[in-house]
Amino acid sequence: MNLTLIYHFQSFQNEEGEFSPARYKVIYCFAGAGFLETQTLQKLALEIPEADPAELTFVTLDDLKRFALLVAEEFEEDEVRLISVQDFNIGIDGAKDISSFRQIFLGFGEVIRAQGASKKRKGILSRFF
Amino acid sequence: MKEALLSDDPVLPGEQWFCYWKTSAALWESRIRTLDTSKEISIPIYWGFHSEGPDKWDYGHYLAERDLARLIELLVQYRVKYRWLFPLTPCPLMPNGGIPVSAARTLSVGPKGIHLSSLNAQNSLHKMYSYFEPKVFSAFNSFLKSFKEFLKTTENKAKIVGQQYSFTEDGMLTSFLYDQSIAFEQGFGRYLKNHEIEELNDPAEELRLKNEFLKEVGDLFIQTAQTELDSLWGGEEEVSFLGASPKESIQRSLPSGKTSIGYFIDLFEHYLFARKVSSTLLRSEEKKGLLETVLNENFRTGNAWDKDDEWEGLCLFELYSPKPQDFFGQGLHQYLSSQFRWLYRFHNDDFKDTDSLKIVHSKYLDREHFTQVLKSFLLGKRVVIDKNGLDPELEKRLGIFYAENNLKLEPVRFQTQMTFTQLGDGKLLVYDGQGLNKDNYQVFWKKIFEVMGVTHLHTELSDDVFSLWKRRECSTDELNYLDVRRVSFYNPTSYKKNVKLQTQNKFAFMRMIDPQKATAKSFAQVIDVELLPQGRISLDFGHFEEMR
Repeated sequence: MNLTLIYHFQSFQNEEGEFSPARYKVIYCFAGAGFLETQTLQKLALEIPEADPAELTFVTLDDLKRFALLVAEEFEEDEVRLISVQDFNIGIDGAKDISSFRQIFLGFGEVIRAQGASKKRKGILSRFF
Repeated sequence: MKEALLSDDPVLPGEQWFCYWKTSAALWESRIRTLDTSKEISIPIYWGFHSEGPDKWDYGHYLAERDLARLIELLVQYRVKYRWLFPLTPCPLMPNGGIPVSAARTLSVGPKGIHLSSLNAQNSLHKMYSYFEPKVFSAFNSFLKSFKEFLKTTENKAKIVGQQYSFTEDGMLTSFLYDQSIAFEQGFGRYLKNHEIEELNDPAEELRLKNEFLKEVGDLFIQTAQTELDSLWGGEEEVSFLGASPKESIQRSLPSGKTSIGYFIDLFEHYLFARKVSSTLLRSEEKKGLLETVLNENFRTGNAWDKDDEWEGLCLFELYSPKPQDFFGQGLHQYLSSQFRWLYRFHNDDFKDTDSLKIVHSKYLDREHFTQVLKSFLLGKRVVIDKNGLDPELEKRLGIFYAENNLKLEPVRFQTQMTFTQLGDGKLLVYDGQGLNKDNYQVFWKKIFEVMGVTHLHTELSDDVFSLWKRRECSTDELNYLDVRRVSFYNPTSYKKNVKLQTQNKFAFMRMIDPQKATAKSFAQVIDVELLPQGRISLDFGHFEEMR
């Protein structure tokens, strides 16, 4: 199974209770071996200007994609699938069992390829929950 | 051990739940005949299954599997004790969350914006539908009226317990009632209109009102069930499903699945909060091994604190606070977790008058709870109160309480200001949590528990070894002891683990029970336990010194 990232486009609010611009928030990030460690994702998000690493939120979809590619490179994956919550929900709506549920991660969203893929993979299992 | 053997069975998926709709009615008798009549079974009512159209409910006329009169007859015939479970929220064990197809209009949306759905033990995906859809409440009400009338025509004497279901994700407990779908938003709009709130510009206020609305709707379902079922009503309880969160649905669908240790962590987290759990969604391969053992040995009713035969969960500390985080800043949770792991539980509502040491945060203390806490002290119980943030009115009442009962106060300055007093067996210590030295909390809490007379075996174990303590009264040949304590250790990891127990002149090692991939060696005042991967062992100790 590919590296998969599910994100939510949502409005945020600051501490004073006023709405700030909408952002792209990473909800889940996982591969066949399990969920990726949040701390590692937060560390990678530091490389994206204007991102909020603690919340894993990004100002633009391009930023989110850049982040996704960083994750793919870090975990030595060839590609990463980005699925919006809306698409994921459409998938759930049509799924009836585990088999059709798994198909969501194979057929929905957008696949982006990492540059310099196919490096030697080492110790990848230890990076997952 | 009949239940253990049947754990792969969709009819009996765990915690003695009997899912009648999961098999042919022709097979009910053969299943019921094999049940252990000494244990009560719970029968979830899949109310949507009985729908034959709007306001039309079937109990066997159209479909034999809906023939609950026949089911009751069999249960009575084979003297099986049972109770009904009635869902007060969407139930992940049932298709559509349990509601009739005609009312299943809008899928529920969880806190992260994802449709709530859960995989069951047979790998079906059950989607939750919003309880904020007006048609759901209408159908709910209609079913209750019909079901009550139906039960009058049967031999049924069993009570109906209302259940509210929840899941946890990243440590956060969420009710399956939770929703932010369009059905919720429309309902919330009507709620605002009814309360004549026209503009809502403050997001914090909006969140508060949404939570209030959610609670009111939850209460409405409870009250309706209570009113309609009347004398048949057996109260309500909350149940947390293992493996039911959106994240877990993904995890469980991955080739790696959710690890056994992941379920252990969840299970013991629920234990600390005294929550009832249900493992009925888990597949047999997820449960098999040590997880199944710990469930069968301790969570037969869903709550390991419950008394089972002669044994009950050993709780040394009851922590009362609206939020457990209230104690985190004082290092209490950290201290208990390292020194008295899984020997305490959190409460945010009902006060329990047990013999455990009660530690009460001021945020918990309204007038009613304040009275209960002081009464508990007068009855000889041990109470510790953090007065930081205490309502000035209650602080005044505390002063009056001291004076009225002629209590001799001992002011103590130890890291913070404290007042200690005793009356008979009762001990009351009031401290100011604000003054605590966060870097030195271990010394503080160690001293407090010495003063309050808490003694227990000292246990050294690593974070990924799990233990459950139980106690029972002594039998006639054990009269030298005050009580008997049993600890069961479980090692769900792939590594060998060691545990060391120190009896501290207050406990005598009595016996070792059912070691599996484990050994225990007894030395003077020390027991060394070695647990191989997937190992488990139980040890009994006689307690021969008064605790206080």
